[in-house]
This record gives sequence, C-alpha cells and structure tokens, in this order.
Amino acid sequence: MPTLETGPGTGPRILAVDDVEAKRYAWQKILTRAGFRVSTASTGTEALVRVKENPDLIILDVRLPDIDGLEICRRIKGEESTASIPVLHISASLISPEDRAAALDGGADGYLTEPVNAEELVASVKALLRMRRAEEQARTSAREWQTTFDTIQDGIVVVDHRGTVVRCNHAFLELSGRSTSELLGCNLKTLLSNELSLETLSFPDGTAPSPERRTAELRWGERWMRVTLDPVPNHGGAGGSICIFSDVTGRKLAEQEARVGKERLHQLNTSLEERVVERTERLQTAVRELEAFTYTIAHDLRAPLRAMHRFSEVLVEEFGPKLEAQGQDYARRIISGAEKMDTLIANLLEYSRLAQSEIHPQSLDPSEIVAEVVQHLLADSSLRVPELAVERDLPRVIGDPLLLRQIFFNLLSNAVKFVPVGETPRVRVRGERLGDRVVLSVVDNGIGIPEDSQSRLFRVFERLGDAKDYPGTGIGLAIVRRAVERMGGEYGVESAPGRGSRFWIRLPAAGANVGGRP
Amino acid sequence: MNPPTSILLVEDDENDVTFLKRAFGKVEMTVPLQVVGNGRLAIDYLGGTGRFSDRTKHPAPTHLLLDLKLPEKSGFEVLQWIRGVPALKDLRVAILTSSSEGPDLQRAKELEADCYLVKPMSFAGLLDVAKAIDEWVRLGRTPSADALHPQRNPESVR
Repeated sequence: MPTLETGPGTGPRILAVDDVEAKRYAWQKILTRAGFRVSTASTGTEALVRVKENPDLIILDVRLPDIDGLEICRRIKGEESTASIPVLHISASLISPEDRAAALDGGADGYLTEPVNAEELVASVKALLRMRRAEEQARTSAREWQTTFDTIQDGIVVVDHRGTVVRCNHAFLELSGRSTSELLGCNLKTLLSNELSLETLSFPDGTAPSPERRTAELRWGERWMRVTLDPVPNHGGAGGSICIFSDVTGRKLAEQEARVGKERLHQLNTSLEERVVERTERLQTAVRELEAFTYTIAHDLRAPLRAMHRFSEVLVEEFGPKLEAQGQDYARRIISGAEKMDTLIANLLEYSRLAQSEIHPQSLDPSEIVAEVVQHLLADSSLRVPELAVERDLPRVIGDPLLLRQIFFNLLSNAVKFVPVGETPRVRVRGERLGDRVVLSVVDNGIGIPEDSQSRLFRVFERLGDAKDYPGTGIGLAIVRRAVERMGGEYGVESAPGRGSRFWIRLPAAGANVGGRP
Repeated sequence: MNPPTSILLVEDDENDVTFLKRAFGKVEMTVPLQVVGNGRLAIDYLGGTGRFSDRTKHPAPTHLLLDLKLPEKSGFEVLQWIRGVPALKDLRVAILTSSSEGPDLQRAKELEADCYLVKPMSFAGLLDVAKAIDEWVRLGRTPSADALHPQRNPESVR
C-alpha cells in the first residue's frame, strides 16, 4: 500500500490515520507546511503496522472501518515500546461527552472535534510534542538518576525527618541483606539497631534535624562502615537526610595492620636498642681490655728488654777483654735481639693505635711531609744513603698529617731497605692529580716483588726478602694499608722481581677552596 | 736561699734503678738521689709522713723523676696528689716512662709535668737522658723529649 510521505525537513514525524482520503490529504498538507514530516495510514491495521516506525505523534480518527480508533489507542498505549507516543484523536462532530471521556480514558493525549481548523491542529500537535519531550527528558533523567543511584557502591538511604526510609539504592540492599519492601517505610535506626549503632550520629527522630553533616565510623558485623548523614533541605517541609554507608573495612584493616606493625617495629627497635647498648658495652669492655693490654705491652714488656739490652752492653764494656770474640758476638746478638723486639713492639702498638686514634683530615702538602721523613731516614745510620728524587710541587691532598707521615715513613724506608746488596738505593717520589684524586708513588730500584706475593704484602707480618739481608717486622705495609684506608684512599703496588717496585696511594685531592693555597 | 737540690726517683724496676744510678755516675752527677719503689711510698716521702718523717735522713726533694706504671698508686695518681698540695708547688716533675703513648703524654700535659722522658733501650741512650737530667736539675734547663730520644714521631709535652 503506497504511503504518502512528504516534506523534506527534519521535523517531528507524524502518522496521520484516517479512512477518508480527503482528510488525510488536508492534514498532510497542513502539517507539512508547518514543518512536520507526515506519513499516513487509511486503516487501523495499517496504523498498527506503521506505529512500529515509532512516529513522534499519531493523529488518529476515532472511527475507522476495520478497528475502532479507541481500541488502536489502547493497544498503542498498552505496548511498552509505543506507550509514550502521544495520540491525538480526531472525531466527527456531534460526539457525545461520554465518548470523549472514554477516548481520553483509553490513553489519548488530546481530542479534537471536527471541523478542525489548521491553526488549531498545528497548535495541538505542537503542544503534545512539547509535552512528550518534557516527559521523555524527565524519564531519561529519572533513569539516569536511578542508574547512578544503583551503580554507586556506597549504600545510600534517603530518610525523611523521622528517620523513615524513603528510598535506597541497590548497594544498600546488598549491604543490609534486605529487600526494598522490607526497608521502605521503616525507621532506619530501629531497623538496624541489632547490627549497628546509629546513636552516635544523632539520627533524625522527628525533632529539628541537624543542619550539618555528621559522620561516624561504625562496625557492621565483620565490616567497618563510614556513615555520613547529610541533611536535605526541603522547602517548607521538615526535610530529611541522606545516609551514605561507605565500606572502609580495607582501610581499617590496613590501619590496624599498620598499628600492629608499628607496635612490632617499636618492640623490635627497643630490643635492637637494648642489644646495641649491650653489645656496645661488651665492645667497650673489649676495647678497654685491649687498651690495658696495649699499655702493658708498651710498659711492662719493654722493661725486661731494656735490662737484656743494657746488661749485654755493660757486659761487653766491663768484661769485654775476658769474653773472647765469640762471647762478645753472643752479647751483641742479645742486644740486636732486644732491639728487634723493641721495634716490633713499637710497630705493633703503632698499628693497633691506627684503628683507634682520631684522624683530622686537612689539606696537606705531601712535599713537606716527604722532606721531614727523608731527614729522619738520612739520620738513621743503619740505612744505606739513597739517591733521592722527589718531584717538585706534589699535588695537595686531603688527609691526616700523622697518618700520611707514617705512610711515607714506611714506604720510603722500605724503598731504601729492599735494594740488592751492594747497590745504591735510587728512590723517586711522584705525584699526579687525576680528577678529584691524587696518586702519590714511591718508585725504587729494589729487589722487586713476585706477582703472586703482591696481594699478601699489605697484611700484618707478611715479610719480603731474606730476614738476614732485609730485617723488618712485617708490619710497615700493614700500617700503610690501615692509614690509607682510614683516610678513605686506596693503595697498591706494581712490581716484578729484579725490576724495582712502585708503591702508590690514592687520596682525595685538596680542592682550591679547601684550606691550603689559593 | 733556695734549698739544696735533691732528686726523688720513683721507680719499681730495680734494673732501671741500677742503670740510672750507673748512668748518673758516668755523667758525674752529684745531686743526691733518693729512690722509692711505688706510688704510695712516693706520696709518703713527699708528704714527710710515716717512715719518711725524718727530713734529715729523707730530705724533701726539689726534683721528682716519676715512672708512670707503678704498684699501688700510678705515677699520674702521685702527680695529681702533688697538684693538690700547695707546699709542693715548686717541685719540678719529670715523667720517666717506657713508652710515648699519646694518652699518657696528653695526661702529663694536663697535670703540668715539666717534661716527659722516654726510657731508651740502650745504655748509651740512657747516658743522654742522664746528662739531660743533670742539666735540668743543676741548670734548670728543661730537656725536650725531641733532643733526648729521636723517635719516629717525636712529641714533646710543651
């Protein structure tokens, strides 16, 4: 069945249903001119089919040949998908008021009696469309609101001024384990009194509502709820409240855990402190004992040494002639043994004190310290006189003067000492600044050190060479190591047997602004 | 007039006493020398109490040679006691000890010892010490630890 559909516009679509073609034509013309898009149907059956196209409005003749217009209207309104389409009935004149009432009862939204004038028709159609739009908007926002309301994961209950539940969301139903019908109309406080106490919130009880938000964190069974009560101002009326239940169990548990953790940490700290105090005391005792021991070594062990030494001297001096050469040799050996022991004690004390003594880092000129040490060495008649070449203007370093002196004393006396028998020691002192560090080296023409011995060199009592030709206590390089380490530096050696050695230390360089020269 | 000079040596090691006497003999020191063997006796002597009350037999010394490690009362305890006795304010005190321990030096400085002498190993060294003591006692020339005992790290009290 061909349908006339006219009008190009994008205006609302209107389905006009009438069995009289002239009328269809007239309506179509009027409405098209008014900017509507119009389709038509000539029978009830056809109207019911076309209604599925979801027009914005239907103009429906009450009297149709096949199905009664009122019946069609009822069907449209009874079908959910079409119920919202406004229906404007048009009937012939001389219709009784009862018929008219029946039509409106059937769901029709408007009623016009013929003859229908064009302006009246267009105005009625527009009014109905406005109404429909408003309804739809209201429905949409209601749907949106309900969806939002139900999607929120916090339980929300709206109560009136007496605390009676007016409405609640899905989350609250789940939370409370109750159905809407159980909740609506009940007093929320009474209803939940067995499970959680809303007293603290001064829950609405019909008296004047609190104008402010109130919150409390309450236990609800196994869970924790943060309950917020917000007054809703209501024009004229008593006003109600919105009660929001947020599940804060996770946070509460975390807080509890944190509290427990904190307590435990505190306990641990306390016991740790106790242990530290205890151990510190034990260490202090040990240090005191060690100091007493060191003191004893320094004083008491030396007394018998002095006696040995001096008695041997006196023996040679007073009884020399009676002693024969061998006896004199023995006496001298006693003397040299005592001297060796004395040096050993002195070195050991020096070494053990290195670990304890305070250090005073400052900008130092290595040249000055080397010069001092060289003077001492030259004064020692037991050492061979070396050829010395000290580089001028060694770069300044940050270090402790006493420690640096001990380092150079040991490195330089080694350099002079460990030279092949009969050769003149040739010793060079060099310095080089590399970034923020300074490398100071003592280079000798000594006997050299096999590579596999080099790593042992810096340990206590590790000696090099033959004890007869190269006397020593084996502590010198251990002192160097400890002194360098205490100043935050590094140390090392490059050497090969017969090719001399280069001992080096690396210390922080003295910057232009750290003490010293400008 | 100043009282005649005399020395009290506080030393518990008999060998050290023997050698010091011998060294004094070698350098021909004539200043009278009294010897006590521990700190308690040193205090008794200086105070003129007990068996030292007879000052003709036990004259009050003008100079004290004090070992540090002593039985009963240490050298420092003796020195501290001395600093609390106004009558002894003119007593010159030299510490004569085995080793130049940093803390000992520091303490000697605090208690205002006049000098700090390290017992040398050899008798030859001891002769130098004896000479210095002789000059100190007779001429009032305070020996410096440096000059007496050239150590690796020479330290002097003053």
